[in-house]
Amino acid sequence: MARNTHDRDEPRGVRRVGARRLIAGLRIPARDEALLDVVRPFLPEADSASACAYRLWRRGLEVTLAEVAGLGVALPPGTTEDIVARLVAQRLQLCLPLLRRTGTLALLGIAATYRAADAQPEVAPAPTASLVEPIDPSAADAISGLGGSDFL
Amino acid sequence: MQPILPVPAGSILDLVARAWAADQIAAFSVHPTVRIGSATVVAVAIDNGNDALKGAVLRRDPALPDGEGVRSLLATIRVPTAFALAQTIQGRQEVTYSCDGMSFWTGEAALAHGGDALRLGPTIQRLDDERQRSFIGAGIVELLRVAGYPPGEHQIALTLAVPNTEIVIERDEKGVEQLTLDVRTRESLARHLKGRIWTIARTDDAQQPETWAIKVATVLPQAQTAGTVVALTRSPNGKAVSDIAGLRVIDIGGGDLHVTEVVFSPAQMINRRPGDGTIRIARALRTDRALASVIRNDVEAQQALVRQTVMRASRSVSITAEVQQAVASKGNAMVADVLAELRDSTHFVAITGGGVLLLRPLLADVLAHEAKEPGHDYLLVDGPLASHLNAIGVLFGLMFRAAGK
Repeated sequence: MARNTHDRDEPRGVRRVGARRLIAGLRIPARDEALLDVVRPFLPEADSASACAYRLWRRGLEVTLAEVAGLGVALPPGTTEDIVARLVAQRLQLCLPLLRRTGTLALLGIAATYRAADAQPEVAPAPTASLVEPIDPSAADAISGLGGSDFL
Repeated sequence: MQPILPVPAGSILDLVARAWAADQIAAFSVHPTVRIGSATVVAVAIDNGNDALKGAVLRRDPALPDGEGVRSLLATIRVPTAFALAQTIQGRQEVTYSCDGMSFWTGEAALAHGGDALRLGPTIQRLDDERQRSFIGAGIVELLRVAGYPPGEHQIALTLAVPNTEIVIERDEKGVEQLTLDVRTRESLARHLKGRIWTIARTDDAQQPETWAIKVATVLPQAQTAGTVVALTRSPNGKAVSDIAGLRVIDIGGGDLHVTEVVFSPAQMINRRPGDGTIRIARALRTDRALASVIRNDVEAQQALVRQTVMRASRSVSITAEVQQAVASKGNAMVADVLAELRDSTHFVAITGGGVLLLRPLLADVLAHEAKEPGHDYLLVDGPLASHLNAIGVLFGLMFRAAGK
């Protein structure tokens, strides 16, 4: 009974699949499909069309979330403005070489603060994985100092 | 109920206390695994105290989509150090473990069926007891299970909180003094735990039988007080979050009352054992003539202290008055020891250990009249964290050490 009640509250096109829900089927025009072919090789961890779609959707969601967070909307528990800012910063950082080459940074008036290091075409870590800060090197020494130096 | 503690913001202790105070699972942006050589293994922490085994482990948040971010959830357990060979039960089944041809119960199940206390004392004596080793293996199974790991094969990096007195000063090959593990403890851990494979069958009343294969890839022994120091002074990614240069830890454990003074730079550690832990209160209860026939050993006495009930003629009987009397007589002596250590210290003082829960009313009374200020001069680690703190701290210590290996 509870499930029926829940279903009534959900918009059309929403279907439960295991622990996740399938939210709307996407119809992809040919032009977008061509764009998708460009980015797909850069998402090797997505081993299916739905996994790929989810990752792309997630990127869009993060950017949109940052847009509305900037307007001051209330964020759900467990999500803070700091977290959203850091998520979207990773996306933007990857866009910087293009923005710079096309002069868009200057157009936005932020060229002066753009550092040369940002232009390096280095491979960035996965955006969300980079939220994990590396273990501070001083911590290992502190453990050794307390006698925890011997891995047996 | 876990209170929020006056500790450095962002410290491991702060984050866990806040989560538990809100009745939530503590979550951290760290990986639950560590790299040991070419293998990625689950980090597991065990604080095998004289009264109870405490364990801590992290597991990737299952709510996170695959490949999206890192968020690990903390799971902890506490299992009284009681052990009994399993018997055939007609009716509701107890959680039963089978390992090396032996079926046994631990913790509450063992206590409910007249189980024995396991050996107290130094690591070497305790690990020589086969029951103790099986008890630890079963504890790891239960810990992984509580965290949500599925049955099957798991390779782990095991960190063990050992008594501070088993950490000694030795000179390395360059003649530099450093704190390290006592050689006999090291040999014992290497013999009994390193490379150990526990194959444990677990059954209970509701579930299908489960088979767990736990492989210990490596063992990192740490002083139990290191757990408190790490949790209090470091963030989950190891950054220092406190400006204190040293710390005196008063650990009121089941077996021992330990006092450890730690200076961070240069690293120094001084240990004292002013006396027994809460076992002195438990033994007072055990020798109470009215309870002598229903409390048969130390672990039963420790449990009776915590629960304030005993089973007599198949009835649960309240012994609150007897516990209060025992705490009043022996507990006041312990509080006096704690107070002397607090007053005497020029360092920040952390008062921790499972005994805090028992002595809390007495401690709160006397600390309220102390000139030293809570949060500034000392910290009383209260609530469930008091007994789990060392296990949680050494878990992060293992991750820090593995990252810097």
